Amino acid sequence: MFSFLGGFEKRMEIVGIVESIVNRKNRNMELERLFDDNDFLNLVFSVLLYIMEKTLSEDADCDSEHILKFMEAILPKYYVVQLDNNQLHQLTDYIIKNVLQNEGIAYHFKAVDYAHDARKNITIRLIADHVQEVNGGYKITYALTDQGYDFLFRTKEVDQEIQMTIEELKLKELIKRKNFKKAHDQSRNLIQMVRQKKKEIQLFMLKIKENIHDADIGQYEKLINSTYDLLNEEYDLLSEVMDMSRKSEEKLRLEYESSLNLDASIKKAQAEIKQINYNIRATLSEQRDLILSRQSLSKVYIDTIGDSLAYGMENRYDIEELILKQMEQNVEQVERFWQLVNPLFLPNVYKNINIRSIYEPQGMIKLEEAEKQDFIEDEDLSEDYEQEKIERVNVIYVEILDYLLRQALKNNGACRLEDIICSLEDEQDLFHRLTEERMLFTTLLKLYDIGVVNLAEWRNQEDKVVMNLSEEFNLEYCLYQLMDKYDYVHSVDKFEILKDTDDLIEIEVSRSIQEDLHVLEKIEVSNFMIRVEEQDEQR
Amino acid sequence: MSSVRTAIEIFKVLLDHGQLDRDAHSDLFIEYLNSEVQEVLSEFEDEMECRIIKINNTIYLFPNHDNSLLGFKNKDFREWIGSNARLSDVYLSYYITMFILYKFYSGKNKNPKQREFIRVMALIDELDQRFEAILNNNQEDVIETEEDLNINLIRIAEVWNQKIVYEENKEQQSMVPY
Repeated sequence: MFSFLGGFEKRMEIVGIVESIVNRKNRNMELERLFDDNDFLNLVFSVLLYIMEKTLSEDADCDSEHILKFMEAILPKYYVVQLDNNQLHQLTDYIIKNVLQNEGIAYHFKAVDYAHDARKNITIRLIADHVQEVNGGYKITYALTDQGYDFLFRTKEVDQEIQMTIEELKLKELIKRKNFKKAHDQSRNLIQMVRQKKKEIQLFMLKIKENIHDADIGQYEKLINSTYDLLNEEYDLLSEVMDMSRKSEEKLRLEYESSLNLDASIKKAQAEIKQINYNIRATLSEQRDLILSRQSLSKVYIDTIGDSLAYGMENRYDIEELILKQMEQNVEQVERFWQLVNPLFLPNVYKNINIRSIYEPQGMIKLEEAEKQDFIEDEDLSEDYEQEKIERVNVIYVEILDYLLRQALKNNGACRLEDIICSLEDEQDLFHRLTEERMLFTTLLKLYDIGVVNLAEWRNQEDKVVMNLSEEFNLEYCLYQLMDKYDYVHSVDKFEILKDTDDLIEIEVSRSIQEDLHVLEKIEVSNFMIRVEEQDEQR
Repeated sequence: MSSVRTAIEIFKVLLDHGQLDRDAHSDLFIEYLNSEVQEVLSEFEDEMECRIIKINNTIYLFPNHDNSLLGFKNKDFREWIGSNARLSDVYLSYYITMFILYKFYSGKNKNPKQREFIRVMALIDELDQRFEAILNNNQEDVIETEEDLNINLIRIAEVWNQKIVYEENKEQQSMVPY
């Protein structure tokens, strides 16, 4: 639910460690009272660090005697406490046994584990004791646990360089102790750390690119120098570590040869050493990358500084300071300030009025033209009207063709125009519609022109294309429409309009143009014969 | 200075101000009288589609009729008058210009200049009368005149009247107490 609480118990481990030392029970107030305020705690942590230092850097054991000597050395000078030998022994014992080891009782800290909604028992153990057999007797030595190391590393100001050195020292230690599993983890950490350093450099580079003024030279130098020092040091250490791991491998091999028994632990150790070697190689290559990125960091830094200086050398206007404020203070001069932005404008040529153009002949503006403002809409409308008209005209063409065919079929496949007009005149509406703009007669003439229309053939054609419609008679379109609408057309094979006689018929068409205005048209037309042939089986 | 350079300088002043006065640029004015300079300028005239003419103590640059770079076209006038200006507004402005020129320079003797200034109100009054006359005349006669002279009279008279009515309305409106 709350992602930020992920791994909370891990954080609490540190708190638990501090708590284990600060809130101890069964305090020996007699000893603790010897120290001012927090001095005792300081001493405890100093002892911890001593153990770490002793076990890691000096590669030696650390027993209570060493610790005693250490305290003896620092107490008078830094804590202004003078103790006799007995007191020193008591104090050493108290710090090692009671404070750091909780009298040998495991110390637990209960941390909330949000992920599992549970309390996690964290065992706190900072130092571990080892019993060694020396000259027939026993000696107890102390070393930090991993938890102890972890804790102490974190209490220090995190410096990759130092941390890394210690990581490596620890690795060295671990390899010596044949604790290869840990060494394996450590070598993995090494890679992580080099990568982190690399990332640090990348981030710094980004910072430089974003704004050079945010990146100060000290920071840059520190980063560069620390990287360089670190790498120098790391190389030696790493090759040493590699050496050691090689030696350990050798040792393992010898062990194996002597016992001729490859037990599981040796196998595991071998695999781990192999992994360690691999990780070390990876670390080396990462370090090489680090050097390269350090170089590019230097380049970016120098380039950016160069650019920044170049920009700095340019005389650039501080718009607010040099222009806006000046304008506000010298309002009467504002017009002059505009000259500053002149280069941004297109050239403005002085235009002269040509007197002649005033006397030039003018196109006559018609009143209605001048009033019309929405030309575009008008154009649209006129197109619409046109389209509307085309559609209406074509519907009539289809009606005409349909009527002609039906009449012919009704009369056994042949019919004269005279008869068609006669029957058409019975249906006044249809008559008027079909004779509108003399469409009936022009259609007849066109069909006569076309001659025989072979419908059967047309039906079988694959590529029937209907062109854009116009006000003209379009036979194909009409046939298409008829086929779509009426079944009878499917049985028509062919039809034609013949002129087999010179007879003329006269047809009168009257129409009203306005309310009181009627026009009577007289049309003379040949008495055509319309002949329709049906398919054989239909006859 | 070479004659080309001088010609360019003269042309630059003309481009900048539309004219070159003897008082302001006496050296250039004298150089203009140099025939070599005039030769170069005449090439400018050809290429830039304009004419450079000296009248008394001033040199003027006149763009050719259809020169949209240095001169105005109907479109420019329309933009100049306003974004919703129509061609009739432009023609009206032409008529008014003609009328102003007429009011100033209608003398027929050696110096045609008739007056030094005209009051805007006086100009408006006279224009009112002119346009009223156009509208009250026999329309057929006016149309004949229009066709003869290739000039819109009725239309611009109407446009003029519309503008006056508009102004009056505005005044009336502003007198209505809130």
